[in-house]
Amino acid sequence: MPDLDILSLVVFFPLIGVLVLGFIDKREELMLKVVALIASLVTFGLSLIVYFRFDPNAVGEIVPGYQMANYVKWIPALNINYVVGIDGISLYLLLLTTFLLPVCILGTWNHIKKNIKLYLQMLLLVTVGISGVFVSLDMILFFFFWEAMLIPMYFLIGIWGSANRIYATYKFVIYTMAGSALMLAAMIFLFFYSSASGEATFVIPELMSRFAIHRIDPGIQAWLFWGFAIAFAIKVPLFPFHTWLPDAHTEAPTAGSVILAGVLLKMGTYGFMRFCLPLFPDASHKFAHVIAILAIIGIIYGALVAAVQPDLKRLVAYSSIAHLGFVMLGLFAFNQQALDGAVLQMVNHGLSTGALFLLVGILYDRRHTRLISDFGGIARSIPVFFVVFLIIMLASIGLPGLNGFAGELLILMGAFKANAFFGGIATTGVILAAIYMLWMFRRVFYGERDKEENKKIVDLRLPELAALIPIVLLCFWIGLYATPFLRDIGSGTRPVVELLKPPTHTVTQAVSSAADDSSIMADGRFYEISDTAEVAND
Amino acid sequence: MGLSELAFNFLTTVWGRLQILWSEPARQLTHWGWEHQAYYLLFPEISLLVGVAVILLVDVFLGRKAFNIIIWIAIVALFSNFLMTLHLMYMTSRFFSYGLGLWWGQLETIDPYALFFKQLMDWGDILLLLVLFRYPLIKRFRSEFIILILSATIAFDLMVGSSDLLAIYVMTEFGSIMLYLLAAFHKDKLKSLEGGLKYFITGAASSAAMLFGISYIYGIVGSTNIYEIKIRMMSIYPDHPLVLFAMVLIIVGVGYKIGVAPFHLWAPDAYEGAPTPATAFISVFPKMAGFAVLMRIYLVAFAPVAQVWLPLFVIMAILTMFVGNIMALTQTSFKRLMAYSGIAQMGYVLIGVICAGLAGPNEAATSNGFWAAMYYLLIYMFMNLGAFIIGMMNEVSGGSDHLDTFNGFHQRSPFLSFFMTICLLALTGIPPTAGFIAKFVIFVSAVDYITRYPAMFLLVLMAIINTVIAVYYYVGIIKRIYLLKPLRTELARPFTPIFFQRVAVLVPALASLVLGIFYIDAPMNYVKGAWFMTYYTTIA
Amino acid sequence: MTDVPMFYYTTLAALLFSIGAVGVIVKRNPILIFMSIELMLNAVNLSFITYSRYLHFLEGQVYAFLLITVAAAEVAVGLAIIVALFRSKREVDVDAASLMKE
Repeated sequence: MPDLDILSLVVFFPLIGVLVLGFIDKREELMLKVVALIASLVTFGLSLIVYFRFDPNAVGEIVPGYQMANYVKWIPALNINYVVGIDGISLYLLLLTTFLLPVCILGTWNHIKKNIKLYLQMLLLVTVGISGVFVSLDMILFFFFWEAMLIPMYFLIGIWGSANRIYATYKFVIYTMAGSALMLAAMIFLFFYSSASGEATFVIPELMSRFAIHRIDPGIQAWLFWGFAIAFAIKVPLFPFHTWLPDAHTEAPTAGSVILAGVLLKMGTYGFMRFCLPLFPDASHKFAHVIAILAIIGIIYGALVAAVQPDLKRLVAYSSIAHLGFVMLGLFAFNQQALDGAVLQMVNHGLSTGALFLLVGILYDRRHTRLISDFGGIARSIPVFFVVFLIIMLASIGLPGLNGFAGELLILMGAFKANAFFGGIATTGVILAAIYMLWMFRRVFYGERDKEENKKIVDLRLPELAALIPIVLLCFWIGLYATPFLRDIGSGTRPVVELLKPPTHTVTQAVSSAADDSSIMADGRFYEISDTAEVAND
Repeated sequence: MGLSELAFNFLTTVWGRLQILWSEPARQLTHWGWEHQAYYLLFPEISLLVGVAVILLVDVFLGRKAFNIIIWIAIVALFSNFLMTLHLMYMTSRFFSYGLGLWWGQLETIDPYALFFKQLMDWGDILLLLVLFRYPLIKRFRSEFIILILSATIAFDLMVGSSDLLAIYVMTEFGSIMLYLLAAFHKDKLKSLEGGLKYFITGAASSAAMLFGISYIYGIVGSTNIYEIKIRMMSIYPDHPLVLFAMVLIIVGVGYKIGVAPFHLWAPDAYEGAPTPATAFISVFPKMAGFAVLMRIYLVAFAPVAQVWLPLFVIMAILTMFVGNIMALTQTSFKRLMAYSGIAQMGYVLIGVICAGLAGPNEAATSNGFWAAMYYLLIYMFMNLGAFIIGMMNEVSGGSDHLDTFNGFHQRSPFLSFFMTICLLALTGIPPTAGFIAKFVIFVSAVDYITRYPAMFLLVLMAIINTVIAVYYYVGIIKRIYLLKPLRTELARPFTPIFFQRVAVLVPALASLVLGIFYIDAPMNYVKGAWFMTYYTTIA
Repeated sequence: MTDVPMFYYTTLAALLFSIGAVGVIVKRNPILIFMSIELMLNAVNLSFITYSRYLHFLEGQVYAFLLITVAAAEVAVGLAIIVALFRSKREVDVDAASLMKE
């Protein structure tokens, strides 16, 4: 038997919870919830061990560059291996995933009435899939978790969702499958392509180090880039592929929305970070403008559509599109600051939007409506809720001192360095975010308290408060003192930035190759950008 | 070394020791001479034949009360068939340096390739028979039903070993006649007779076409033996104009048996009309036997002229996937849906065959594509059979095979619903199921050729599009099971299958799950060990 | 015998086969379709015997006997299905057998 490493333990521990839940009677609801909560808390505790063991300066023993790694042969016939490991990019996403699981269970403590056993099992299973995606370093293992996560999510939305749930869950599954099938073919192609320089392999760090020396032919890079990018763009979601998101978010049960917004969307951006940028740097440079423009469209479009939504949950869903647009813009600015900011913003968005969905879910649980027009003046009825909502909303807008600010600032600074024009347009997104959020806030919490039901809303209950307070604390922590986070994240993004630098850096080489190669002209543009970025950094 | 691998090694070792115990008499048996050896090699089929004879006698003397006994006899016959094939598999490795060889004037070959299919069909048959212990929808001629299934199995057993075009034809015809009868089994139901008639007419016409093709090959080559055809094709007739014509005609014949587009038209009608156990049988076993034959013909005999038939196969694969998947989208009957989805699934196997063909005549049987196709068939048997067996349970408890009876199926039987979900996810190809690994190996074999043959890029793209289309209707059944409410209140009444039916559900469903998670090399090596089918040509 | 070229026989076989194939596609009465299938099978027999005669391999003639037997078995089953269909429907027409068209 292979050694059990801490990461595998974190990933698969919820499965033990699923099994234990299976032996408990359906009617013992409290027991079920407590067991699920304990399982989730233990998982989070294990991931904290990962956090404390993580050393940003470590080299990594089994897999270079990745810590706490494990490498086990899985399917030798196809050279598929079970490889897990963690670096600065995935560390916080893994923590976020395991953190949001107890938050979901606590935050929706009394909300679910129907078949709670299966519900808790599905929540635990979906966490297995998502945390598996963040730690796997083998492409097929990655794909395995990526797809396996779909099944519990399908049931979460389909069984416990609201009225239009079946349409939404169908759309979600088919969109994801469409992207991932293409990705699988690209992965297999990459596998065969890697055989040109040694034994064919699916291991991502191995591929990265090989292709850093033997660059993939730019034409093939373009194909592979889009093979991966479409799958990830659907998950993010990038502008033209976003239509599944408002449906899925709106119809999902509260915990489903929290997980969707909190970590599931990050799988897309994480994929860009893990595959597209380091493996296909030339193609990334080539299509950076396309992606950046789509991201900016997403920012503006998401904000504008969010502003006119009558439904609270839909509003938050569209704000997600805008926020993820920022992350994508940061990723495709290709400099250290922007990438750090993007990773930090992934975590921030997971915290603040996850919490927003939770709060809207709590409101829905009390009032059984999500329409903004049904509320008004409820600040006086539920003061604690009001305060928490205010903090989370301000974090989401990006108020200095709260977490959203740190991420967005870094991204925008990086984007300005890469391309001032794009940075400038993206900045308007921040203003728009403030407008629609504050407008919504005013309509919901202030004004006439004219409806009778709004006077009798119950304030936050203890388990809900227990779920929300850690999030609020984290928002302040990241907002006020982001340095330790950035140090860890930076250790993960630095190699990516290195790989993204053009291969010929010295002037003599550039000149000599420019003499006979006309294609350098197309690339020259990017050399300029990254060079200026270098200067600015110094 | 994983636990499963350890268990597999242990079992094979135990089996090896047992074999040595009785190997001495067996060695004497084989030393008697060529004729005796031939009958010795026929023991698997003879055991089935004895089973059929005993069932006939029991049916006459004990009457219909003895139905459970009849099923047990059939299971014992199938199991002894399995033991005999295992023994032969052992003999191939112990007494001979290559496959056991050709016999009956080179009409049949006993090689691991044939034994692989024989063993698979044994297990599938046993699973199917377990369901029949309590299956109220077949009331009359139940023992005849068992006899037909066993006879068809004999035919397919001989079919997968055939190494002569004539033997292939005769065995195909033998099997097909049994299938026509199975399809038209409800002789008082018009639907069943109609399906049977359509199946019969298309089947008979297509085998006539195949025969015409065989006669041309005979005229060109002067022999109908697979291995001789290969040798001649390699040297003399690579671009004879009649070769293409003959090959097209043979594709028509074999294509009808495995139900690939455009030769699939009989499938939905025959499937819908036949009693559901017969449908399950038709949806799995003729396809496996047909593919065994298809690969033996095209990857051995016609492998040297692969450039002639490959374009046809590419077109056929694309058509098959699209026709199957798109037609399946609108079906309302479970059996019709499975008919079309089964057609689509065969498209993926064809991709594997195409890749094996691209590998060239001498590498075909050891290429990725070859074992990808074999592995796909192995998994396909489990997942499709599992889905069909649960479909049967649903038909018994829900009253019809309409998809609406699946609505709220989890209220009727959470057990069956769970395993149905696994089977359907496997058919879709979503990890962590074996269906994913099966599709994955097909993709692996195909993507390997993308840079060399642009047409393969198109093929891979089409396969990708089709996996996405297939999600819609497979997940649609899962949606009905878990997300929709039962149509009528009596459809929510709990239904408990009997013990044997539970076994028949568990085995294929768990196989299509476990082979995906705890992936072991054992099944793959088992499949890969079946490369022997070309040994004669490599000697020549 | 030698003064009739092989080409004549093979052409005849091909013609018979084509007539049979067209019959299967065009005819609506199952009995006539059967006859067409028989025609196809006999074209095959002719083709086999021709090759056997001209290539001096005897197997071809053995094959012809084999095929006649198999075809007989096939037709027995087919006719049984038709008879059963006729009994329950009083009408034998492929077009009328359209219960399952959707």
